[in-house]
Amino acid sequence: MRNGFSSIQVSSLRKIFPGPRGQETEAVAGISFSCKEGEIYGLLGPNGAGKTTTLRILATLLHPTSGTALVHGFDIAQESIQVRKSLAFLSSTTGLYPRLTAREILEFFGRLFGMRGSALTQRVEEVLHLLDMDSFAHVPCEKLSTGMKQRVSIGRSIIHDPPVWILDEPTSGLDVLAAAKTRDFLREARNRGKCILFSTHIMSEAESLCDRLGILHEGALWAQGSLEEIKEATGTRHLEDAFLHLIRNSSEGEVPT
Amino acid sequence: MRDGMIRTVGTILAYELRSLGRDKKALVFFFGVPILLYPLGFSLLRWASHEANVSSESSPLRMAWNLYPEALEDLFQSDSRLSMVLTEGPEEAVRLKAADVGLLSSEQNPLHWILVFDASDPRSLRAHETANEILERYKRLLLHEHLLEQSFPFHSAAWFQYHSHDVVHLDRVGRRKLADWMSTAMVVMVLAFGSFACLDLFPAQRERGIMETCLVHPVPSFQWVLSKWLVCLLFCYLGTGLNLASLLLCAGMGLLPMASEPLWLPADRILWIFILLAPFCALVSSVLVYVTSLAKSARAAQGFILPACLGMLVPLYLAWLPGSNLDSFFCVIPVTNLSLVLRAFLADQNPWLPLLLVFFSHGILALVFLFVASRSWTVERLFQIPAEEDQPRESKPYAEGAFFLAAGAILLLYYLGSWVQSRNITIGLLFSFFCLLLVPGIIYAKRRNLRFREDLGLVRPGNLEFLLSGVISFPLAILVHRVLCIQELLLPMPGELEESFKELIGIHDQDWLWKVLLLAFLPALCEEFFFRGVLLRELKSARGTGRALLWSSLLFGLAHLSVFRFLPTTCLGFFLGLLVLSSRSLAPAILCHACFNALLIFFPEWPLTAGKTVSGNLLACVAVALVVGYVWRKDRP
Repeated sequence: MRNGFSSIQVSSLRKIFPGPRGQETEAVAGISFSCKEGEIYGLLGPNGAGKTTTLRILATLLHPTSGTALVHGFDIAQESIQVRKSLAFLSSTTGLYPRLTAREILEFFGRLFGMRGSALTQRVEEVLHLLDMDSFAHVPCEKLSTGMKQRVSIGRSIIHDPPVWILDEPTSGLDVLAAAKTRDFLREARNRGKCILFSTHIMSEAESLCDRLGILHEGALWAQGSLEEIKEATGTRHLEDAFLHLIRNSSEGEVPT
Repeated sequence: MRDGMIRTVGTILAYELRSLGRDKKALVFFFGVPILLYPLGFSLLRWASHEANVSSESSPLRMAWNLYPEALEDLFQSDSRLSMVLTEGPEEAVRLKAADVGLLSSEQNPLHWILVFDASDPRSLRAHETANEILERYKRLLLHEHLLEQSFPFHSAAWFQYHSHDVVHLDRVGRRKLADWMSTAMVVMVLAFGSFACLDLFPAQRERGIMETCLVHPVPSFQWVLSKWLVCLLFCYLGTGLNLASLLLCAGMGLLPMASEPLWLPADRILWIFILLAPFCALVSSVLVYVTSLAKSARAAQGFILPACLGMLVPLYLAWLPGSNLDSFFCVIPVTNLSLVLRAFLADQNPWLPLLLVFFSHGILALVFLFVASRSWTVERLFQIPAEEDQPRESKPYAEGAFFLAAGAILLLYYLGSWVQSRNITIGLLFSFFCLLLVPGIIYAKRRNLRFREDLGLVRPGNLEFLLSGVISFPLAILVHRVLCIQELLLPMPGELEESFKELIGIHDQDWLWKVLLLAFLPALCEEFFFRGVLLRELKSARGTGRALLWSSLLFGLAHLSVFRFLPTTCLGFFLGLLVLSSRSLAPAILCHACFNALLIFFPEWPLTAGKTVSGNLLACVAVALVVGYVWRKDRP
């Protein structure tokens, strides 16, 4: 850990995708935010708002067009390997080897983080127990249910016990029970001092889970702060109303805050 | 740092192999095919070829094996290097041959050819004469001490050239054929295993999101590419190795159709086969890793793999050409040099320098592809999918382009292709199919942005319609022959043309595998791709289905460059076009065309015999109509 703190710091991050015949798409339009350790920061936005692109940039899967971001004190452009070592990344599109078992998946990705021997075995057992995966640890992933697979994915991402977690819609596709379990798990992690950045488009989830929120639309951050601050700024009672208010304002041409 | 890299690569290799090895299809490839399919299939083939040899004309080499004693007397008297052993029965012949081969390989008799034959075997007079003729040619060859390429058909020329300067014994004939078989089987198997592995390692993982999962771990892209290349290499090597071992076992048991008796290879030669397999697997893996890592999806990857595999088959064909030896030219061409070195090793030669060149040329090319793959396979590329690739690319109808392409190809076939064929029939055919049809077709399709799967129909057809397409070639042959008979009434074919055509389809002295490849499979593949793939698609979008079918059939007929063959080939083209339009895949037409050609090669009299009766013709009409009707209805809502 560098600089004595564990957090995500994003400043003026911008991403432009080249399109056909010279057209360009601005997926992320110069956003800035930060997330401290022991905090859950939620990126809220409709489909196509730029949430996944932002998280992929932070996970070093995409290079930013301009702007910088520090993850656990490491620059995402210059120190990508260090950044990857410091974070757990999970998205709805990150898949698992279908023919490997849950235990093998954890061992494989643990080895890629440089873990070996008894330390790895101990950590694998710990994660299996933590996520309640003991009963299906020896079953190939292709035979698991969506909820089980999600647990394996979470286990895979946190096998090296990183300080920063970046989760893209972690409860997407899960039933109510599995989603609630995942939320509980995230709260526990926050209490253990992890810095968690996650994206969602489910208002209730953001409301119940996040310490701070950022509302993203068309690549720009329209509002950020605690739940109360956002409600106050928009003059609404519920997060959903605040969200709709901001989205409508954006289509009327107002400038993001 | 290096230890870390080796450890990471080793970890990825172990887990990827574990994942790949659990695929049921891989298990069938690995164990089911070599253990069950080869012994059964070859037993069946051997039985079929034995039947064919008894009932029809045998291959000249086989006839030489079964010579009458009288036919050889003069030859042996005039050439002290030749001798013969007479036996009273087949068992004694086999026993004696085995003993004499041991004698011949000693250095005491470096130029000694013993023919062992069974005097009690009653053979036809015709077989006797043909065999005698071959030995006469051989005698002439020894007298003149140089090759008369033009006076010999391909295989006998190559065979004599190969053996005239060395110890000659009959066991070598089998080994030479075994070498050709081995190199072909090796190439096909490595391509199949490599494609299988790469499709699973790159596009399938990308579609399942595994690639994204992998790339968020602290492993550089090059290490991923290197590990996956090693997985592919090992998968290819182990899979092909198992299959080759099974083939060698089949050869040892005498099941292979090219050897008339069990052919056990010495242990050191088998070792060389497995050593030579490694550089080839390395090359194929790197090429396939490169092409599949570029693909956005498994479907797109299949479109890349097919041209890549076809491209790698070209140098294999080069090794089969007459006069292809381990000289300075062929030594440096990858795949070609491997095939030639394999052949030399199986003939008890030890070409050390060419062997080094095999490793060097394959290694250099593999490294180049691996380097390019790791450079282009970046994290950014995986997620940066331009919008234009998501949209189906539409090309405007352009019938003129198709007509220009066809006219150019027909003119080149007429002037250039025919000229090369007149110089050397084998090279001419290969040149015409590859350079004048397949390559221009691919270039045209690329220039016009035609998609291999959607536009050109390079897709997997339904199992039943694929099977039916092969079966339907029999009644189709009757119908096409009937058209030829009707044409004969108005426009009789000159006798010499008929003779030359028969000579072509029955190219002397070539084994059946070569015939199938050169005259059945290759024309089917290239002509179908050109006429039913590119031309039919282009004309269909510009002129409508009916006219496109008509035009493509007429152009197909014209491309056969003979007024006497125009009508039957046009009819054949029309039917094949119907198959393509109805199945929306080229594969049934390719199979049907290949079976049709194979039928004319191996049983040229069959359509005549079967089409003599009214019921035979009627049955053929009904069968063809039923199949077209079935295939047509199947795809229609």
